[in-house]
Amino acid sequence: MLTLNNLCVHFPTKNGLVRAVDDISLTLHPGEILGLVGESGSGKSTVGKATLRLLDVTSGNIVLDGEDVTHATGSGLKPLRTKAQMIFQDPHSSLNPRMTVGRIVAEPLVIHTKIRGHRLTETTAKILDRVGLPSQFLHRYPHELSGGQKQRVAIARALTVDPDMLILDEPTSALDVSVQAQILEFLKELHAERPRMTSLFISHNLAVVRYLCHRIAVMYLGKIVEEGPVAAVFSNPCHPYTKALLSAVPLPQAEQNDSRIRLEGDLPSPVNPPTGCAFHPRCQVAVAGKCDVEPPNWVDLGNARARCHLIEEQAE
Amino acid sequence: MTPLLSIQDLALEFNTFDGSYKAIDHVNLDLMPGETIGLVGETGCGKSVLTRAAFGLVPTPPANITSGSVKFEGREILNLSPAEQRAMRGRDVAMIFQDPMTFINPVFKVGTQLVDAVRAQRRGQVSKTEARDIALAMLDKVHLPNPVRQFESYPHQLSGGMRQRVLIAMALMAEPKLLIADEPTTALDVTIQAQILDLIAELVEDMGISLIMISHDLGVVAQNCGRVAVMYSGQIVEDAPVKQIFDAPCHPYTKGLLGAVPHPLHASEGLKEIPGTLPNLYRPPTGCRFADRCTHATAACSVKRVEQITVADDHRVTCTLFADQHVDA
Amino acid sequence: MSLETSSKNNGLMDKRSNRISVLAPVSEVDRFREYRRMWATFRKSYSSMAGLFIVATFLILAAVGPSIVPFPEDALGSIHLERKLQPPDATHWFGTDEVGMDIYSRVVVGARTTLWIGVTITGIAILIGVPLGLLAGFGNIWVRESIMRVTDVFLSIPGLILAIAIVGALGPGILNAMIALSLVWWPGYVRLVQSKVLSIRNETYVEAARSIGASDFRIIFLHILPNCMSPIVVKASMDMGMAILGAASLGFLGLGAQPPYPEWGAMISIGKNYLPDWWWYTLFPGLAIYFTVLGFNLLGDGLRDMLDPKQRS
Repeated sequence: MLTLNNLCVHFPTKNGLVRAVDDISLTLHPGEILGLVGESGSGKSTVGKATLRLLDVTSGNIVLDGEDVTHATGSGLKPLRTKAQMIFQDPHSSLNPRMTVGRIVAEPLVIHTKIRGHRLTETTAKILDRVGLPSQFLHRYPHELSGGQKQRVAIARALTVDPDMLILDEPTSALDVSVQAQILEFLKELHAERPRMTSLFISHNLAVVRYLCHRIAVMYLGKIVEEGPVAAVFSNPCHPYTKALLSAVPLPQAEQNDSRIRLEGDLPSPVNPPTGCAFHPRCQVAVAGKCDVEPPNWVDLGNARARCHLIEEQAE
Repeated sequence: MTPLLSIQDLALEFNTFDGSYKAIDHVNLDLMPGETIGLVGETGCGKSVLTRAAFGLVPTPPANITSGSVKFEGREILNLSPAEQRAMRGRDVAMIFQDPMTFINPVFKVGTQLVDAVRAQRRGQVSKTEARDIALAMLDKVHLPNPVRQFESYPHQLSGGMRQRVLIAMALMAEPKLLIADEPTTALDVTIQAQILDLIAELVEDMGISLIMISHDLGVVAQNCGRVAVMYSGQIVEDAPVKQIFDAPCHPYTKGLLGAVPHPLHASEGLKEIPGTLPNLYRPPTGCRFADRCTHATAACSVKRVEQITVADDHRVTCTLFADQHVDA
Repeated sequence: MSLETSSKNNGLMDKRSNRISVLAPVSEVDRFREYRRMWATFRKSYSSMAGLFIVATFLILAAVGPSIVPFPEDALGSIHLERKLQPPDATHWFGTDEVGMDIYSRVVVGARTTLWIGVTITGIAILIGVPLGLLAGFGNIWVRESIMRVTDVFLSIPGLILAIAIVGALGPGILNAMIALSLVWWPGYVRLVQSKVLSIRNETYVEAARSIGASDFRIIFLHILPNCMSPIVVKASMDMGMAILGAASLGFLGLGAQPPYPEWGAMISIGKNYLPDWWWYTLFPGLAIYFTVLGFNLLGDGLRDMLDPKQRS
């Protein structure tokens, strides 16, 4: 459904070039939910925005449903704008405060179709119903809605054009856990109903990714360091960063994991990333003279892959 | 043993354009010296307001404390003068917040602010160099890398995790008896969150401080607290040792919260949604505030106010289902 | 309505209606709550209410002025030398001027002139400034830089001096004065709108609009402009007062309305020659200007507090 080939997104800043996304390749098959996780500054949101061409791509290409949309402009963007939709993190700011829910949800139809008048209202009401909001909400303004209701409106807007691809940029992290559960259940249901629906789920919340996604890709400083089916990656993480990330999550249970890996220090600056493997300054098993010199290559681990010198050595 | 902090029957409302919003509804909470307690709940449940109100940090008006008492080491603090409350906050009670940037002045160097804080807390009885030494020792204690260099940095030059460390240093410099941490790691990444949580646990242990940790994340509370109080729309619905909350939760809301979060490490079977929405606190229901959303609710639940019931040693629930399980602790 | 029929025909909705009612109970939302809250904020401030009262009085006088004054013909310049320069009394509340015209009649009729001046100047300034501001905020760096630098040039010259120069070139007269003042007034709107657009274009809802394929035109007029309206309204209200003052200043300098046209600035201009003995000649038009400008400023302050509570100190 979606293929990203060697995608790079670089921003020039005062302090130098920020390599927000650096040589990323991902393939999403129809019906799949891929979780893209990483800490802030890892470039995971940039991947989502670049995929929808909300940001300029520096190099590499984006193929959506067999069509290269990397350099599409004007009407060439239409397939991308109707097939792929994005849902943003903060539902409070992703809805125009001066538009009613009805107009917000109808906007994609107004832009892309000739549906107007009664039929537009009818279709909008149907879509609102689909996300669990009664048609009375058509005439409300966003500020009259709760956070969960707003996120439903944002989802409704994304669903109006019947997209096959959803890019979910932390759709639940601004919400309370009980509302988060409602949204996650809804997304799961949506995928069950529509076998072709493919999602790129961007999140820092590993528990949510574990729950919803089929595959996971872990990002660190603009690069993917490990990718594989969720069950495999969560039960048997290979990359030291994935291991540390998993063991840093506080568990909602009385007994905590005692043998935790604690990472020292902060994320390095993406302007001036470390040489070799970008993770080596924080890595507890880094080998001097190797990890800090050459960048690691992908190691194929059956259905998963990871990028680490140590795994490379083990594989040999 | 007398509790370090004893909140009895505290009720607070906000007078707003739409009427009076009953944010805190007759809450009881005791905290023993050295105890660590987690206050969990969703947005708007009153967990932040509760601790702020207890130490006079909620401006009145618009807030209005309608009943209750808050005793700190046996001394009533609600009727202290604002100056006395301020002195107590500087000396005995320290607070850290979600966004450290709001509480650090962006135009002064980190060191300057720390030195000023030390001198203010010690009433000017220390010289600048002594204050600097105390501050540096404290930065060392919070494991801030390169404290001497960071002393000369401006807050915006530090990362989020480092700022939170500075704020913790500032808070603990006066060696308080109680630390209130209001969502201290919500703005941080998981690996940094883990560092800060470990740091708080370590300092609380070493310095023998009591801790109130406010969080919406059950995992964070499970990791750092000995006891958990679950709040729902202005009430503490369940208050128990951490093991009981997770292994034998009583209140349907606690169960709902636990069922709503997916487990980070194993596959979860489908999440339990909590149906419905929060009650309107301008006109709160007379009976149980959770009754509308509760799958176990009976007609009796909505009739009259539900009292706190002690179901086991140190385990209290505000739910009619447990009325017959009452034990005298 | 179509909605009801659709819900009846739609089996899906019936099937799910149970769950929906549990998920999102439709609480009665007070449709006018927001307006009532704004009005309550506005009403709390005495100065805002005073501003509203003054502006309302001014608007009423502008609407009905010529038909309620005792000597409507005096507003147009009839001469009654037999009653010239009489002090205020029961017949001539504000006294008479050097050719015997009733000053009360002229001041009241002048309200319409003044309103016309204020609305025209502010209106033209908005019509020029807001589109330029939108372009500058939304366009690429070249568009932005060229518009903003021209704006800076205009802003760096004192407005009234520039207006005097323009009127000097065009020749004195009320129309030319208004054209001149409009030409110096728009840069403020460019600044205001441009900075507002720059912040709004980074809002997620603008990004969301782009992600669903909205055109730039649609984004500017549906997503950005409506969200810039409150500061524009506030500035327009304040500018009404300032524009009136500006036009009166030009009139005072003899560059605006020409006597016997009933314009307050021009009246003061002649009246100043009769000071201090015939003080009423200048006092009453002066008070009229003073209160009108004050009223619009107080109203503008009130509107700002009401529309944008965050900006309050």
